[in-house]
Amino acid sequence: MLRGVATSVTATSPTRLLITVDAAKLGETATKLRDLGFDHVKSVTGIDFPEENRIDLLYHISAFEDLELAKAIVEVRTSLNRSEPKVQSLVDIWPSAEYSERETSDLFGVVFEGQPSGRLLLPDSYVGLPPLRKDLKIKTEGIDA
Amino acid sequence: MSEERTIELLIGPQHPGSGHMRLTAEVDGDLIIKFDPNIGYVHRAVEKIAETKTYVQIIPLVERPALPDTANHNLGYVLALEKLLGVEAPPRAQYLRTLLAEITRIHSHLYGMGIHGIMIGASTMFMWALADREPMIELCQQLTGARLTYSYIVPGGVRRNLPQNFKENALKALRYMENRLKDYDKIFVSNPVTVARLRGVGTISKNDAARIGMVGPNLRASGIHYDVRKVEPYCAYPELEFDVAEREEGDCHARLLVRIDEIKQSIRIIRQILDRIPDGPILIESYMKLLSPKMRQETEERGIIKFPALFSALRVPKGEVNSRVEAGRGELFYHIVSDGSPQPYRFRMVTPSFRNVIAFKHALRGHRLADIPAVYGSLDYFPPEADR
Repeated sequence: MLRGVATSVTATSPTRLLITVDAAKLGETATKLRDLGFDHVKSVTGIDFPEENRIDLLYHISAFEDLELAKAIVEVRTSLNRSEPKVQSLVDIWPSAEYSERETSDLFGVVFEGQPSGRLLLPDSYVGLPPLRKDLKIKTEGIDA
Repeated sequence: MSEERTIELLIGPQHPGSGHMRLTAEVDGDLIIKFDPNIGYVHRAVEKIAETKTYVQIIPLVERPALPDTANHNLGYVLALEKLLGVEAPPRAQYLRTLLAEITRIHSHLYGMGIHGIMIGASTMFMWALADREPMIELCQQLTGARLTYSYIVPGGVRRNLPQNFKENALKALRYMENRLKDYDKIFVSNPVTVARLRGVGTISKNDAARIGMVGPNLRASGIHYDVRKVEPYCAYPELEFDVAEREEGDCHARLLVRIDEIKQSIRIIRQILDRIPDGPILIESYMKLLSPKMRQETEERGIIKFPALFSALRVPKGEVNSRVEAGRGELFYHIVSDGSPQPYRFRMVTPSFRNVIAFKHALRGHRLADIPAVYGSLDYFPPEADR
């Protein structure tokens, strides 16, 4: 089904599947998964790897209506260029991705084409690095163990 | 023409009812044409802070966003952590975890119902529900030593054993709760005023509910039979009998009724736990071995584990895991990336309220301004939980 689309498909446990794809193939993969019955996105998030100049983008998807598919959580994973992270939004395929994508856009600086611009969690007055990038260090109070 | 007819109305962020969020409604007269929730006013960057904390320090951190429902947030995180560590809690600990999770579920539903009541002007329901949380909080205090922030569930087990007389106290509290549910029904749930304000309002169809990805009682009120406790059973749930509360209507009243049914199911689960809880250790043997003989003896006699001492040097292997649990307001999802250091490399937490915020957009379109509190309350939306 995903031949020629996904780079790799691995079952990490009996109920977890990891699919890595090229960023350009993300939409095609998502459409196929949705047609299989995976009807919603649980989470969209990033992982920052500054040394390798990449941000991994993770979609966790599953199903509500098909209770057999609901037993699995599928992770669709792609790598973006950290200097210019840009990807096609999957909101047209999975409307449930909307707020999660907007959060990732705020906190990682990933641009989702097709999402409304404007911030969700961060205030409009915020200037500086996207907060969840690794090069933004938060000050601790020095009382931690 | 439409530009002349409609105006944009800003509501909040200072408490449109109970929460810290800004709502933008485009209205034609008092008819809502477009509704847009803007969140983030109580964002506390839990995910970023987690990257500076050790794995055990994250337990109290994840409890903070959702104070009525701390046990489930604690549980989901520890289940993910245990997958990384490759440990599993002994059966008695699994039952104790489930027990606390269900008591807090009742607490969470009461809280949500009370707020829903005051939002539509039923102040009696608010007073009653918030006061009736007390017997539940009291039970949690007996079990864990704390009223809200328990940090009771630790990797490999739980922190305390069942106290003496707990069963009698719990059964008494459950009987009280059952009687109160009958009172709620008379004064609020089946009250003609409540029904008039809630029935047929804020309807979300089955198909839409799945498409927008809402969770928990809101999802089940739209006719979707999805409950993590059944789909991916954890802790003691595989051995316990309960039904998934579900309704077809998808409106505000259905969401209220699902919560009432879930309280009844939680009572049923707690009774089974009290009857069937197995004997045995409350912490996995491989961790008990780490204690000095004197401390171990004290631990076994008192049934209390002093966990910071035990877990201060907790090493977590490299890896990536995710977990899900059914929290009070719906499915709670964690994804943890460990690079082998004392802190997680990346910590992802998706709370039920964050998944439900999208419902505001869909449930309110076509309704009147006066319906906002009815719909808001019925979604049991909790801003600190959504913002994290």
